[in-house]
Amino acid sequence: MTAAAPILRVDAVVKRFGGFTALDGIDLDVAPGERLGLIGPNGSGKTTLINCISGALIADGGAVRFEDADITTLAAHQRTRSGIARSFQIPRPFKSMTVSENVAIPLEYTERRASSDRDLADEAHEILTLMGLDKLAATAAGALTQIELRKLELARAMACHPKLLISDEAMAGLSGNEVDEILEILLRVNERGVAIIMIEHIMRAVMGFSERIAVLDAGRKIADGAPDAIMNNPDVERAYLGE
Amino acid sequence: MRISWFWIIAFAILIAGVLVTKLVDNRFVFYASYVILQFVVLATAWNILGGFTGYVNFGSAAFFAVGAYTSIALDKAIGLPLPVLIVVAGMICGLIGLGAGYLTLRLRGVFFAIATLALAVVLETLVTNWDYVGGASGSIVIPPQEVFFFDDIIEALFSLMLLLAVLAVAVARYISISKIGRGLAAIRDDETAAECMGVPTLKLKLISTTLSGALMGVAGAPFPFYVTYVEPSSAFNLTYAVNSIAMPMIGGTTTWFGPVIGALLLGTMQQWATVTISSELNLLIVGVMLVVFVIVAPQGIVGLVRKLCQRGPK
Repeated sequence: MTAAAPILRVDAVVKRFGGFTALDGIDLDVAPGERLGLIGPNGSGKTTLINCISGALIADGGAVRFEDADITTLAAHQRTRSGIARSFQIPRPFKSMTVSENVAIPLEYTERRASSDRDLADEAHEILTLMGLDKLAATAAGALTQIELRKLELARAMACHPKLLISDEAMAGLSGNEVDEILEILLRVNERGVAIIMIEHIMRAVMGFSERIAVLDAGRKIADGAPDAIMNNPDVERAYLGE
Repeated sequence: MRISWFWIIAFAILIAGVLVTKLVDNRFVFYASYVILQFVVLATAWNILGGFTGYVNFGSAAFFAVGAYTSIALDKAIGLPLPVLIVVAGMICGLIGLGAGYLTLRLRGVFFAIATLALAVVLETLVTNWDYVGGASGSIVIPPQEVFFFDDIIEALFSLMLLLAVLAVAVARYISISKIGRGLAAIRDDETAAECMGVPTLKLKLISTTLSGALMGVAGAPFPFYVTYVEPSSAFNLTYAVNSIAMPMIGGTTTWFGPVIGALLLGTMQQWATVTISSELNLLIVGVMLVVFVIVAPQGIVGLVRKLCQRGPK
């Protein structure tokens, strides 16, 4: 993994909100096809960091590079088209549309070549099957349950033709079985060669899933390494539990 | 085959409209129909931004008035033919839509609506203080006395507005069934999510404001020849802004035919009330209808019919 050139390179990224420094010079590399866990206490800057990577926020300093191109100031939709997809912490479905229409939007807008309606429908069906949503294709997105909404978030992210998928707390609030279900989906996505950054508070999920874990605390990266090493890192323990 | 059906019906309506000018002698029919058709254009134009994209524009009257005053100014300056005036008015209002959109689209919800209202006030103030087009006292426009093919000017204006209405609806329909329309619907549902799904939200919103503004200007361009006397308070009248919002809301905002249904229904009722009861009753009708529909059918007539159809087969 370490031998390959990184697909994503975050270089000394700074983000301030007024006088508050949310990100204070973060460095982070992700290799192609890697499974990276991103953890840290509440307010440590995890979501701000992925907002700066996905384009929802523009970094005040530093650089974000994706596949050797500088994307620091690109609009979010351009980053999505270049291969960075994200799911939202709180599901944000297009409520006036059906499940398959929800998936068709990113399919159509990130397609590099023009394709027929039939191709789009096939592709949407394939993604929904991967997510276990194929039976709900014609259901209105507003009528889904919480776990179905999480799956729809991931389905839409997959429909962006991503090379890097950022999963922002896709499992928060789900039951044990449901967590396993989402984990299995993410592993299946990863098997297709998609690198994944997983933000999660459920330790069992992050530890089992990640090949490498990065820890943020108060806007700085305090640790980065294999899951076992992170668990025994005194800095991480201090960040979570205090002195 | 749906495309050809739409165009067959559109051409049939146009031909029927021209035939009516030869068969019907009652001038009032054309005067009243002109106003109703003008509202079909305005409601359709408003709905591109308000219904498809989810941005509520309270400044429709300003775009309509700029269209009208473009006609007045150019007619006075160089005396261009009306079809050219309509094209120029459409371009100017499209540019205003583009500029206003660029400045205001970072605002959302009620703040955007207030900004459009402010735009209307600014434009009205400008026109009121522009002496060349008559300023506050207004301007008289003398329509041509002889018109090609038609017996008189109102028949020509009626046919022209019918053509404009068909074209406006065709534009709205094209958007609603195209990739642009699906992107706009995504913006309406959740703009942040849409942007993250690869939808170029700013570009699509600017297309929406430009087209919406241009079509409103097009609706206003023939207005001076219809009324022959235009003053700022009539061209910038609140009625246009209110009707442009109420008609799509009553018809249904998510489809291209919703505003057409709303405009035909509400416009006809207003014309009927103007003649039989009082011209002051117009806005009261709009108000009452809006209250009724917000309670009974918040998705408009189209939404109501869909709901009944879904319930029916069970």
